[in-house]
Amino acid sequence: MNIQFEKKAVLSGVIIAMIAILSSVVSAAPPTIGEIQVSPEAPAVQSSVTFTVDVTGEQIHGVYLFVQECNKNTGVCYTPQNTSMTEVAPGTYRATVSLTHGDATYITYAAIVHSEQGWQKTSDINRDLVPKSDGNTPTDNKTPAFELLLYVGAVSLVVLITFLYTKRK
Amino acid sequence: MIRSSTRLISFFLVMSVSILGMLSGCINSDKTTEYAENIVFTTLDGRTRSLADFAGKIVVLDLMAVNCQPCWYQMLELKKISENYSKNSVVIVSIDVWMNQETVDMINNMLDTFEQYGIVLDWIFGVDDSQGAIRTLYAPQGVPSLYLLDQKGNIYYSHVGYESYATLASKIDEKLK
Repeated sequence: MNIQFEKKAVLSGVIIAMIAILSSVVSAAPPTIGEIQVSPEAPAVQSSVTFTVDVTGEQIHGVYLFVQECNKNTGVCYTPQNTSMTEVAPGTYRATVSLTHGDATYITYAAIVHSEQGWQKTSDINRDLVPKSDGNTPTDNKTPAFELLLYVGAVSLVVLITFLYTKRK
Repeated sequence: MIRSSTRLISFFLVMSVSILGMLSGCINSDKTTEYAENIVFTTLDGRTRSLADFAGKIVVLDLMAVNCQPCWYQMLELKKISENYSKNSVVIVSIDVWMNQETVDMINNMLDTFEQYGIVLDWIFGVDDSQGAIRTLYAPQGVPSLYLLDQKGNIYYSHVGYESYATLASKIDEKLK
């Protein structure tokens, strides 16, 4: 009778220990970091860029964004920005960063998650930047340019000459 | 008579101590005052070093960061310098100047990563202080920032951004002639 009781006690102890180990393993799982969404998809030089990332897991203390501006041609990188991301929906974190360097050709970014399991960083991702428009590119035709002034001047000159010519007659 | 001789002795004693003190001051500061850019940094094992320690050699000063991809490419160019020049004449010093967001462990991980590919970065690595004293003065425009210092510590070449081995080698050769 006693032996059976001991066996049961040992068995239940083993089961409890297994459950405890299993639960600790489950709770120790590191958080899952989704793909970082960048908006706009083709960010421009010296513009604001919004980064959004989904993080699933428990006991997340904070999500941070690492953004660095670099120039591919000169091979120089500027001091990165480390920004805290705000939880905009459960498990969704967002941060907007202002790019400041006019000669940057690409950005490198990554998300860093601080959880109960420590720090976890995604791999660095590079994204090319759209160069800043100087107002004279063929794609920029939204605003009047210097050519318009020349056109108005030329038309005025023609009108004046015609007026003077007809007056003299 | 005794009083005047005592005065004379104490005068000589004071003078000798003062002269000795002045001389010792000169001897101690001799190295640092002669070396132009006496940048002080901390090695990865926590020792304080100064560029003046390398007086008499050409110093390739590489102000870098781990979180900077061009800095990693720069390491490959510096490795060629390390391989092709004697350590008795050219010293390479790489200092991480983004220590407000990087750690010694990160630098060691970078060194390990290179080693996994069979590239041993066998030169001096150090760190700036957390306030970025070196960065503020010598790398305000970004990293890598490279400097070549002559045997007396004068900067005779500087470049912001990645620099090829060929350019660096030609500049080093100018001073080794």
